[in-house]
Amino acid sequence: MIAPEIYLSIPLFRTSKQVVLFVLAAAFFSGCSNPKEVNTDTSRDLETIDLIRERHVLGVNTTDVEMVLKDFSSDIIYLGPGLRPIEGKEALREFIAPLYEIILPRIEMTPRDINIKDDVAIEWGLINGTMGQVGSDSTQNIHFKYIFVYERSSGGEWLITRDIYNEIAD
Amino acid sequence: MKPLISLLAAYAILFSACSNNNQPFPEQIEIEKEKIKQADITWGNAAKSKNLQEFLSLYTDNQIPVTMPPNNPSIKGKENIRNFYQPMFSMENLTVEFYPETIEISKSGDLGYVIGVYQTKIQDSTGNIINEDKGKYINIWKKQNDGSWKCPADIFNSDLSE
Repeated sequence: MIAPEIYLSIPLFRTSKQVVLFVLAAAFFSGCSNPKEVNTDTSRDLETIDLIRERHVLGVNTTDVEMVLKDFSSDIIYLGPGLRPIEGKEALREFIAPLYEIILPRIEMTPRDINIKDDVAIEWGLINGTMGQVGSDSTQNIHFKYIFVYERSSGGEWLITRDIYNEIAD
Repeated sequence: MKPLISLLAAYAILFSACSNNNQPFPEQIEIEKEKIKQADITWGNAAKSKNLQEFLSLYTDNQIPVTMPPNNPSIKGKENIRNFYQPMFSMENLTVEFYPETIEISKSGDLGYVIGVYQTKIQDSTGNIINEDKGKYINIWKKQNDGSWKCPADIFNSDLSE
């Protein structure tokens, strides 16, 4: 904070009222400008999102509940087929933890399009793989389409906030 | 006082110019969210009224749109989307309703999405419901150069287990 006397030493200001006016205007216009940067370096964001997707696939394929949950936001909305929406990371943990005790998924995710705008990235693509069951040798092929919404938190971390998918009939 | 006014004016112009290179004001974001909601409602109403032309008009022109219905591959391009939905839009005994619930938008104000729920019913000639489905959807919305919002991708699935 600069003392008003310093402003008064500037020939432009003759009274303290003028100084107060200037400081108020400066604060007002600085506040309006709110210079949060628009992110234009999407290549770095794309790399980050690729890593998140790869980690997600690894988590699913190793049925590692915590690895899968790591990249979901606390307010994740998971919209799986045949299910009511699952909202929140804890609710999702309760859903997938027992599931991962009995299933053996092996998937690949192939993004077909990613749109990034500042703090939101939306990706759609395909999931292909197989689904087995613990204690069984048989597997079935699985094919899905998906949309992932990623959002960048105020701390700069990208997280998956929305996850929806459905089947592709064989 | 005149130099002070000039200085304030210069200050205002400088910071206004700077702010134009950043995000829209919160009020503008709210306006855009409302536009997304209205676009999504129009999309749902077009489906409800079986107005295929209007339904298709809400998909992007400057980007190949994709719709991802369950139990089907992704359907890309307006003509393919038209061909896919045409039989459904021709079913007189089918009612379809969409309800947008959550609208989210990027800070830049030009990319958003809607999470909503849908309901479909098929009735027989006596009005009895012979098939019913409930589910959820995500519609992606992108702001166009003319300020309108259009959908480059949508997906939905049923809440009901098969």
